[in-house]
Amino acid sequence: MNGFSERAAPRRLLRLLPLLSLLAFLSVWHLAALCTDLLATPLDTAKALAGMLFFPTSKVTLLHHVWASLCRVLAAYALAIAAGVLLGVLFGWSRRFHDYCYPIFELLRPIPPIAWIPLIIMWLGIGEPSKIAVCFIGSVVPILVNTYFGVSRLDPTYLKSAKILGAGQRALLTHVILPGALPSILTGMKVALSSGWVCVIAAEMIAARKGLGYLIIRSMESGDMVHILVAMILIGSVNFLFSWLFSKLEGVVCPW
Amino acid sequence: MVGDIHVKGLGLSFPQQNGIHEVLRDVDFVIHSKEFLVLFGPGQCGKTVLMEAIAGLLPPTAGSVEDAQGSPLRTQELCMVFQKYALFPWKTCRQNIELPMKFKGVPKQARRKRAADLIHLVGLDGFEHSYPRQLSGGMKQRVAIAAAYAKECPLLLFDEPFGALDAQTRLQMEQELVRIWQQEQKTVVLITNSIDEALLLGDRILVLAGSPSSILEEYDLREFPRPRSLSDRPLLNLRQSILDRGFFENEGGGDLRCE
Repeated sequence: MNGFSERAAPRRLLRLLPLLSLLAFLSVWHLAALCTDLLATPLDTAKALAGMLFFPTSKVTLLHHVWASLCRVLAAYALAIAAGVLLGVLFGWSRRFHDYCYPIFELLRPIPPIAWIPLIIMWLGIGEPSKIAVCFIGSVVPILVNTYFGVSRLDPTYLKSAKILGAGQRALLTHVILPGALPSILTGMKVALSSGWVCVIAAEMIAARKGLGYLIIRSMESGDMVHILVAMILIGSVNFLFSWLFSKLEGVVCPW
Repeated sequence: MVGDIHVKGLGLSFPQQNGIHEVLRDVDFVIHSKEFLVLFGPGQCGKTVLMEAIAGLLPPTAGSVEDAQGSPLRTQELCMVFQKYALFPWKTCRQNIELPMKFKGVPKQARRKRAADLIHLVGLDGFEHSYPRQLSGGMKQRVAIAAAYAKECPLLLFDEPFGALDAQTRLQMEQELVRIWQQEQKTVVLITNSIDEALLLGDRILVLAGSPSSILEEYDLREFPRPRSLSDRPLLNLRQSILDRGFFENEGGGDLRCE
């Protein structure tokens, strides 16, 4: 019945729907801002955003804040992909390694990355490495878990078939195990990226001089609502952009 | 060159909760060089297990599989086509066919050429760049067969390769398999639970049944000319006499649990 009503509606209207819902959201926001003093209006927020692009807030411009957070997230992300895929494949590949090391991982895994912040600051200080480390912990877990899942769920027929076709251990890894687990690895990478953003904001709220998380906490201290909203909107948009890029990437890397 | 292959006193058992489940006992037969041998048996009689033992994927509990010189078979000498088309979904038709050559270290140019020839041989021209999900069941099985041929090994094992296909496609694939086999001069062992398939394809038919299973009977069909048709009187007579033997009657349907 749902499909029927969709077919009945003109196509052009359907394409406008996301725009309409966005408009509705902005109007509700606007009304809420007018009726209470809990929010700044969307227009004020947009104005502030435009201003922050050119005039420094907390010493640097808005794009600098975004860039600072982005660098931390991406550095941690690269490390997390390398470590997560490596360990995930090892866990799925070697029964013995799995039995020895997986319990340790299972024990550490439920600890929220943010709970690591105090310890990491004691170890690494409040510089860049500590923020990258927190993001790393947040990103590596989903990549590792999904890689392991992908490798261990691989149909054993593929392994048998590859052996029969003459694959050595290395060929097995590059032609069968890694591509077979790739969709699952990509899922892990997608989750890891947003998890990395959560962590960077949290880490910046505690100790930083720039970055979007720092901007939020700084604006809170000065009671500056528009700046909080600007930072939140940017976090949302950057994440949205990455998810979108990811869905494009999936089609390119896994065309099957 | 492997020559004749001897399966000697092969036995296979699997541990289960309530003791040991014996699937095969004293399986004895010879696979002659360049012949088309059909292993015919009911579902769940251990045919797949036997084939995996011949392929070296399962170590036998008893007995051995040896070549003419008495040494065990090496993976390089054989290839197996699985019941469920084991194509790699992340590789295109051509990449799947090239894979065994890649594993062997065949240079790219030679690989391309051989793959193109094989694609033509199995009638898949134009589908080189298709992924398995874009192909029908029959086409997938053709790719799997071409990949097995690409390995250039003297012994080919087929585990109920056409079981999942519709009758029309199946008949066509069977005829093509015979044509390719005649053209390429290989030893073929094919498992089936269809008596018609066995009669159409085999130089010899070995009946595998019982609990535990062993070879119960051997039929020599070498005097039946190819291409065969199931409407040929002598073939029909043989079919009737095999059915009259009632090999599978004591099996009790789904009572056997092998795999």
